[in-house]
Parts: sequence; structure tokens; C-alpha cells
Amino acid sequence: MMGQRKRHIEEGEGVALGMVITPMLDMSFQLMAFFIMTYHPSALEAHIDGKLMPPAKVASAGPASPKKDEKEPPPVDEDPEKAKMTIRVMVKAVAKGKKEGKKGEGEPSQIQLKLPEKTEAQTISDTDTPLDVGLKRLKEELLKIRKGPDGDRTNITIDADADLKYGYFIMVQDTCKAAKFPNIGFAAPIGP
Amino acid sequence: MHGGGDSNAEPNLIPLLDLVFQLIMFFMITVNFVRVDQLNEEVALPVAQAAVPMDQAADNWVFLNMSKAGKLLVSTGDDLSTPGKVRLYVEREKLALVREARERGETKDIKVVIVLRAHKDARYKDVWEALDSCTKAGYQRWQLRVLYQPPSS
Repeated sequence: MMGQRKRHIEEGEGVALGMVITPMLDMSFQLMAFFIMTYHPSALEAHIDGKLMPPAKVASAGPASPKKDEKEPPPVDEDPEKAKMTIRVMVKAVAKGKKEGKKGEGEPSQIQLKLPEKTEAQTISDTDTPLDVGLKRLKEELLKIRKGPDGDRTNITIDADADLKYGYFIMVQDTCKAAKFPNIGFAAPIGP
Repeated sequence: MHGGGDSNAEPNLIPLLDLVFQLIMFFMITVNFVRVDQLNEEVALPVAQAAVPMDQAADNWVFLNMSKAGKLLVSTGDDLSTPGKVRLYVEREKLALVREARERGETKDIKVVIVLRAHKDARYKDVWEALDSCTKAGYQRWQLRVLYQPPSS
């Protein structure tokens, strides 16, 4: 049967290819239109990974405090290499519906750095400081700590105001990451 | 066509068809069907330089989109206006994903990751509360979706 058909094509008057191709071309164009319309390059989207801490730990992120039910504090000299220091990056934000200087609601009004051994927090930037300058200063300070003797054993916790816009929070988090700190925790929001 | 004076000339459609097929092949290979909750156009993501490319291998994900007003949006249309409702929703989704994975024959420890796509203007409090609800629902890992911006220098 196949042989007969082939012979018919070869010996006959020839096949009008245009007649065969046109519907196929129509269908091809429809398929192409479908794929062009559904095409969505999503290569620019990326993610920031993290672990969720139990709620109690998140709320009290920072220097570890002994548990109430523990009769004796854990020995400090058992494995000092594993002991970790936590520094706090505190970000205050302009409250909802308010404005501070050139900064509108939800923008960082003050960035502070609190080291565990110090009682007072160090102000990195305030209302008059442009955000990019403040973040640059923060990165410089964090890099100094990272290169210091306890740099490898230091974690960061970000204490942000409840009103801080998430985009700015990510910028602060990104700055901490840029200073090569591997563990960055999020503390419960400050304020209502 | 070959004679030059033949008026019965027809365009040769075969190269065109070849090209169209190649284009179709390209689009078929690069096509990326995403669920509505994985691509919510209402959500303008924040920008970060330290973000890592998406992991296409993992499939046990629960997607949460957060609008500018801090409202959580999911493809099922569930009302997630309170932390309790969020917790119930993510618990239910997690159970469903674990069940599906077991039915597929996965025997190892099944890890479900929460993916939060929050609008850059949402309040930190709303983001934190959403993650807190996930913690209470037993999730151990999260991903915050951002737009990757390569470092300028």
C-alpha cells in the first residue's frame, strides 16, 4: 500500500505542496502565538533563605539569657568556640501618617548598632542622613566587626519598627549579608 | 518559476515553516507555566543583591503573597485576615503537600517550605506576623522572594 502510494507520488503529476502546507502553517502560527503570549521570563526573581525560630526564641533574639527553670547556668568554658555573640541592628521608622525631615512614613529614621558588651547603642544614621549613606556606614561598621577577633562567632538580629516598610527592611538585611554575616535573625517588631 | 517568464509563481513556504517550527520549539522548551499564587502582578517585590537564584528542584512549597496593605493573597481565595486563619491555612496546605508526597512514594522526611512574596511597601509587622503564624504551624524554613539586582561595582 505504502509502495503504491509512493510510486503514485513519484510517477504522478506531483503534489501541490502549497495545499498541504497552508493548514499546517496556520496551526503553527496559532501555536506560536500561544507560546508567545504565555512566555514569561522569570529569571530576575530570587530568594532569601532562612530558618524559622521557635516563637520564644524570636521574641528574645539577642544575647542568650538563662532559662528560669535552670538551677545552674550552663558552663561557659565547656566549648567557648561554639559560644556566639549577637549584635543587634535596630531600625526605627517614621510612624504611619507622619513625616520626619525629608523622610516619609515607613522609611528608616534611625539605624543603630548595639553590641552585647556595650550598654549604649551606637547611632549609625538619623533623620538627616540619606538612606544610602546610612547603609554604607552600617556596612563599614559591620565589616569592622566581621574582621575582628569574634567576627566568625557573631550573629546579627535585626530589630525593626513595626511601621518599617518591608522594602527597607530587606535593604538592611541585604547590607548585613553584604558584610558577610551568615546568620541574620529577625526580631519581633517594635511598637504597635 | 525557473523559466523566468512563468506567471504561475508560488512563494516557497517550506523555509518559513522551518523557521516557525524552530520558534515553536524554542517557546516549548522555555515555557514556564506558573500558578497564579507564584506570580501575582499586584505584588511589587523588594530588591536585593544578596539573594540567590530560585531552586527549581524543590516542589513542596506553600506560596503566600502579601499586598501593599499587608493582606495575604492566596490562589484559593481563603480569608487570611487574622493570624489564626493564616495558621490554619498553612497547616492545611502543609498536610496536603505531605500527603501528596507520600502518595508519590516519597519516604524520606518531607520538608515544606513557605514562600513569602510580600510587597515592598508592606509593613514589617505584617510580614513578621505572617512568618510567625508559619512558625506556629510547624514550618521550619522560609523563602522571601525578592528581585535580584546585581551589585553595581
